Amino acid sequence: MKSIEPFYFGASETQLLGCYHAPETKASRNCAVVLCYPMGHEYVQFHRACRQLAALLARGGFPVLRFDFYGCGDSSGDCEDGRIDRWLEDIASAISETHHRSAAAKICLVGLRLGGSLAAMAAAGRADIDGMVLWDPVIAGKLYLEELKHLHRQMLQRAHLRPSDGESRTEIAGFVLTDEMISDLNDLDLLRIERKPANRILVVESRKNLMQTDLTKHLEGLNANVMHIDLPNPQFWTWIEDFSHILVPHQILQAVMSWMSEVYA
Amino acid sequence: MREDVCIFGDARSLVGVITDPAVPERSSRLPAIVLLNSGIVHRVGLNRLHVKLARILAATGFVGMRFDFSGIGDSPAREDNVPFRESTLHETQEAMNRLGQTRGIDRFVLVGLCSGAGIALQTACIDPRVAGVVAINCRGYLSGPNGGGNSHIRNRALLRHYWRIAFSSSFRVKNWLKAITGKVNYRSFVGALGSGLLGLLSPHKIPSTPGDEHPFKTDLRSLIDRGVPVLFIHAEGDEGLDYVQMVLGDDAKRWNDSKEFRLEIIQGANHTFALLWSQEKLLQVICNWAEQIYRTGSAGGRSHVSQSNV
Repeated sequence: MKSIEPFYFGASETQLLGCYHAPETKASRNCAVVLCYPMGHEYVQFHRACRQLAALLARGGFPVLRFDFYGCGDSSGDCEDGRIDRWLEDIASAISETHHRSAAAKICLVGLRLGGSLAAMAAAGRADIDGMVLWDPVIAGKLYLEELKHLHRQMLQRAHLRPSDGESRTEIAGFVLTDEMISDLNDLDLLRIERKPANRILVVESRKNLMQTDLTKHLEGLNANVMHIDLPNPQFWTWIEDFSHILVPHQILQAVMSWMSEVYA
Repeated sequence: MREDVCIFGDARSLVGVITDPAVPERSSRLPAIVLLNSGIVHRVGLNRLHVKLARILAATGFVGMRFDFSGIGDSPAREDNVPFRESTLHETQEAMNRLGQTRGIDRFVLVGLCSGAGIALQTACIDPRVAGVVAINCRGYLSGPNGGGNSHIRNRALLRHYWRIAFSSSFRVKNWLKAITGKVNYRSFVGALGSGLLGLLSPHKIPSTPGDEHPFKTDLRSLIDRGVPVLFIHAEGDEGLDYVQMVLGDDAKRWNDSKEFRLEIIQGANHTFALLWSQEKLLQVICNWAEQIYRTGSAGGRSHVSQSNV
């Protein structure tokens, strides 16, 4: 496996950490991938899977940039500073950085959970995104908030811990959820996107009842060429204390790779 | 505060982020803080704790480095046959080498949670540049190279853990309610209880005489003798606490009077510090300790076993 190139990009006070995977085949594909992580506990949980997906795509000839959003991972800012508008700007910066580093003419955004929603929202606001992979994207922010609260209750019930009586903040499995972010999420609704975010879209569903079918129909209604695959992995979506038990969903990674290889043959 | 990402190590394959204070304190000779992976969680740490800790300590003058061991996070897997347990010690030394080369620092404090705590202690034993260890929820020696030989100790520690959780912990009422309302995995509970009883009935004793004692205790004794301060922090809900207290036995009380040993228990917290207040308490304990030990040069009192409440 070739090593990656980690670097900071953007203004120094708001720098973002990116990891660039150069394509590992002689003939590079004409499409570069920008990978958008999920947030909060899902970021920690799925970092390994995202890294492996990036490595798999690079072995298949795709240049890949994965990056930490502002206030997340190794990027600048505190968790409390995260806002959806800011993260959409981060995606635009990451796309510019990817164009700068790769010779590929086309861009495909790959996003997991809230990262998928942000990718779709960012792409719907511009016309230069060719492909998109939405892996269990958050479709309705209100529903997502309910899911997060349920997961937090699950954690409180199962773990050996005691909440503080004086805690005034909203927290979800180790991460703060500010009032501003709650407001942003309440407004998030992918079914309200009015322009197709990309020409070709893969929707990966690993958990039922996430409105993925509605999203697929909506995107098809916007004249996007959509493929929807169902690869159930319900164990991902429960609270887990011991992260060493987290598995990388290779079946999903392979499915993404197969679709990308076919579309960008 | 400034952060830079780097690739370092013999194979130039390890990925790390160095956090520098806004104004370097070259004259203070403060050690650098090196943060080690917890299990397979990458360098950002559980709940982004490593990032928060590095930035808070940078604000008080400490240089910090978080990095990924080979095969974890952004560092690719090694291509040789060196076992993971050995390579982690070597790679921790490579991180210190990097800070020595680029920042001119020759003293280090290693910080690790769970398996990272075990690696921090073991590296400290083989490298004289280590000037302190923060071992959080240390369980590393439970599954160490002598893991098989440790099984009766582990079983006894688990029994002690379940007893404490059920009868004396601050969340005992919640746990009894769970048990009564059927929200407990009885199968795994009975299995753990059975293992614990087996440990109790085992003819093996916990070795305690010098020369025949548990490797964990031997390592700790060597660090204390060398004058290396070690801060143990345990969440109340963590089973490593029972293991550490059981293996150290009365020596822990004796060492309490030394500057080199401190055990802090954070009441109401779980293994991963999943609640915000517990993360803040953890960071506060580490920062206060670092200030006391390395800035003022004293441990700030004689009794170093303390319990922190919510």
